[in-house]
Amino acid sequence: MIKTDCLVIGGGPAGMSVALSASQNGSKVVLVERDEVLGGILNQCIHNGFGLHYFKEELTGPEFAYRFRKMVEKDKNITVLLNTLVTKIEDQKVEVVGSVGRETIQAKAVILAMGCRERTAANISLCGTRPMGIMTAGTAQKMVNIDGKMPGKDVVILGSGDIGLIMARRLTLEGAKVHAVLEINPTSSGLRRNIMQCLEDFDIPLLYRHTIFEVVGKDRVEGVYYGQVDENYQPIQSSKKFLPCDTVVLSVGLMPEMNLASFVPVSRVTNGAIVNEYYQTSKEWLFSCGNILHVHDLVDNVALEAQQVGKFASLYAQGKLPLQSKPIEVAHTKDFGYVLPSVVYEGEGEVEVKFRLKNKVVKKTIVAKCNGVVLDKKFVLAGVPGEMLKLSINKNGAVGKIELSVE
Amino acid sequence: MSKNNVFDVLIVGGGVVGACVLNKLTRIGKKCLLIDKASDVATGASKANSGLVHAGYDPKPNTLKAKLNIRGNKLYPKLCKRLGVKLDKCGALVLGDDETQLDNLYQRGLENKVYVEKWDRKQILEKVPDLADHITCALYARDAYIVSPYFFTISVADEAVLNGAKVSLEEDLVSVEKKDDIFEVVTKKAIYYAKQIVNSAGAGYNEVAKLLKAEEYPLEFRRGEYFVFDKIKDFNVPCTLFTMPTKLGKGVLITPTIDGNFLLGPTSTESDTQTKVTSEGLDEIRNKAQLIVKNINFRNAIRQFSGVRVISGDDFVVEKSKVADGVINIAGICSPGLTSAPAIAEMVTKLLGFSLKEKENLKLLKKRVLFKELSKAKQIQLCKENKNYCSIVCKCEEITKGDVIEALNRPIKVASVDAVKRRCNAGMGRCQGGFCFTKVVAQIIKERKIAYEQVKKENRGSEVCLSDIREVNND
Amino acid sequence: MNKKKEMICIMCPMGCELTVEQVDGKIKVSGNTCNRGITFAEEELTSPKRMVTTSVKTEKGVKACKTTIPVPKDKVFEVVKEVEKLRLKSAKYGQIIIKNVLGTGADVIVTAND
Repeated sequence: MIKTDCLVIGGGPAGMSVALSASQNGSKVVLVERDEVLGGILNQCIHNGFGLHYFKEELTGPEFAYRFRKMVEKDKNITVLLNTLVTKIEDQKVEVVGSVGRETIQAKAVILAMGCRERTAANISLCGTRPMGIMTAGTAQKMVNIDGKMPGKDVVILGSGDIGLIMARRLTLEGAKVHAVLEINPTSSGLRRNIMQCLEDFDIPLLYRHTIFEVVGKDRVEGVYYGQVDENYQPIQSSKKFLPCDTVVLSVGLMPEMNLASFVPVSRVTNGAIVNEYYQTSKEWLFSCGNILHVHDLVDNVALEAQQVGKFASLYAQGKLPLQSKPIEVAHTKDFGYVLPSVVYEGEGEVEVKFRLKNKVVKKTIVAKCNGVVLDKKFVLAGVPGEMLKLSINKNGAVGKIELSVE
Repeated sequence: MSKNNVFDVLIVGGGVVGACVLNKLTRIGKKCLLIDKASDVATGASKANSGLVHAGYDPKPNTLKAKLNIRGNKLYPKLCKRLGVKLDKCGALVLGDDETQLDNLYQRGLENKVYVEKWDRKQILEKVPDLADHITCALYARDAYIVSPYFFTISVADEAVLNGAKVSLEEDLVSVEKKDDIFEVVTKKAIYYAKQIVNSAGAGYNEVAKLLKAEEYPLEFRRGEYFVFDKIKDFNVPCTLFTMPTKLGKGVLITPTIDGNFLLGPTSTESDTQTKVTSEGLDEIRNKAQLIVKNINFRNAIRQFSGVRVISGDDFVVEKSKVADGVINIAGICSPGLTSAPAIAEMVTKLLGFSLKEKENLKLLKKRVLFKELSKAKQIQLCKENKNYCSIVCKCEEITKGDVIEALNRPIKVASVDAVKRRCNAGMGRCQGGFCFTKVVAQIIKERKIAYEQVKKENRGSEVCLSDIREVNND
Repeated sequence: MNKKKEMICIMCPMGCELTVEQVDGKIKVSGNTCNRGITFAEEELTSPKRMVTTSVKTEKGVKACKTTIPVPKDKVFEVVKEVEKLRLKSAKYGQIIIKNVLGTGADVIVTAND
């Protein structure tokens, strides 16, 4: 049995950042990563656009990962276990299989930092046959960027999430023809700059309120029937058209995967654990951060969040986390997708609250109130659901409930 | 004609029936060849069904279906034990709200000499707490089992190969001529000679029958769509739950699978041979599910699939051809085909003029034990002995590299991602291969010593990639 | 000549919606939240540039690489073609594989994390 203060599960940006922070705050850390190199999904995100907030310069995914990896490797308080997968979490004991063989690791604090997974064809009940050529954007990305292989040459992308948009450009640059990106919603969840530099630069049409009705093809995708949907997201049959293609790339959302910790309550909106001010789940020794907590917009925000959580977990492991006073519920109006954390504690100081808007807002103010008293507000020039926004709330004197609203 | 390509019996079609026939004939000492156009056995209806070994209360008494179902059901436990294939006697309940219908079913069960009981709502609720409100009664069939239909088929065929049978995949029949009491079978790959031929080509039966100059049958295809659910713990289905049969068959059912998932379906729609899922079909299942149990959470569905059953009239066709001497016709093996397959194999053996008596000193297939199924002590031991078991390929199903290598080194050598999936469950979990697909591909490349471009998802034409990046031919 | 164009700033993931107007040779930018938006809009109107990220082929598979600075947008495909000409024995993080690619002033460097 291996014993440690903090055990971090996942060696992507969240895991590396949380491990560094926990170590800097005085804990011995074991970092478990299933792949043979630290970095997680960043290693296959070879495009640029990372690091502007964290490193104040624009990096590609592997470069961002490289910088963190070097810091982790230098840190003597962090033991990295590569090629190692956690198979079970139970009462501060974690079962692993990997470079250390079949082992049990006991930790005072366990931090979930496994990221998320892509929603699959099954998650959206994609109709039609199941031939080769239907794959998630992440799988396509791995094939192209890591394996150097082309999954197809005539591509249709379903969903306009960021990885889908990025893959439209990657596949085009590497020799495929991307015929269209179909988005069932009236807006894209992808970043606006990706729509511009990944689609518009290459004249790839982005069709809103469109989806695939049926995939056709026995062994290999031969094409898709696609068309418009109505307000209830039902296919409008009269708009149905056939588009020949050999590959369907799915970019239909990401989902935190909490199966390893299915014993803690999970939010129906984020699919991640419900956490308090210190990012503790319902089990006080179990922390969560990064994309397994809620799907972030930017890796920089993942790293920053993990940095905070690493401190909390480390303090907890050393028995120094402030004792929890009376809880204050953090609520929100219908204008928000979610607000996180959902519970803060009475006392002094500022607490950072993260949120996503449900719809686009222009020139509005986000207000945090407690019993009618404004605690904090933030002006938003243009806010979209795709962006994760933050508000620092001074919680001095707040009791019972804090509510966020858009005014 | 070299001795190597002369066979006592050539079997066309590697579904569960063909595999069972191959297995039985090999065990009685016949030299057999099974050919299939697919890249693996069990790629048709045998991979896409409910995975049920039916008790036998359902078929009309004295039909071939009834006889073969009951006999097959009796053969399964011993067969699965020998093959090391998991079989779970979980029982089945046929739920209904009509006592008369229940009585009829009960009588039929008794006539078929199947162990059945009549249950009232209270009894059912003890076993199925989430029961739909309108259900008042049920027929309980004790001797119903669940099994992995594809892994069973693969194991049956593997065991035959281990004992000397030959399985040749990706075969396309070109012609069959009978010359001096022996069939000359020409495929695109080779010429084979066989004294007798068994046509178990399933959906392709008539195409093969035409070449054999044997009887063709009007075949009807029915598509059955299904949902597969994650291994959830918040919902308990302890046994197979049917609803009372209607004219269209058994209606939808919900059943645990041998791997710990749940299966909901199938629909029964007239179709062609295409296995596709439709929004109508999925909606039908969503609606009908409520008639069985409450609170099914469709967010936990991890896959939808469909299988096509081949139907020829009311009963199975298993017969000696009256027009083509030396040919056995097997057609229309729909439900309960999986259950009946071992019994069909016995019947075919007799029709070919052989005795059922098996040879001695037959080899036993190595039982598949996945890493995750081992005790912790054994896992620690295995990790020390072989590093491949320390490396997990599929994280949803916890399948190790060692498990994948074992799957690739079973008697029938395969080179497709789906074939690996059927042998060790890699890619069968909630992410549906999102994480492990390229890892499995890498392992196939290594074990089979082939190029990336040659690895297939399933059959020919399903190669997982076209070329290296920037080398796509866009003409 | 007067030109008016709407564009999304790609300088950072904020993605500000810019309106760029050219009035009598002078460029006026609105909608930006920082000064980089102005630089971007001016350049986007006159000589748009893009970063190129792709992979270089080596004996052991492919390695991620990028241009050190943005290159003219109409040269993006040509830069990828230049990278395609290479078959490296190996590639190390930070290694320059093409100096001053196509005279753009940008180098192509390896970015792979290993």
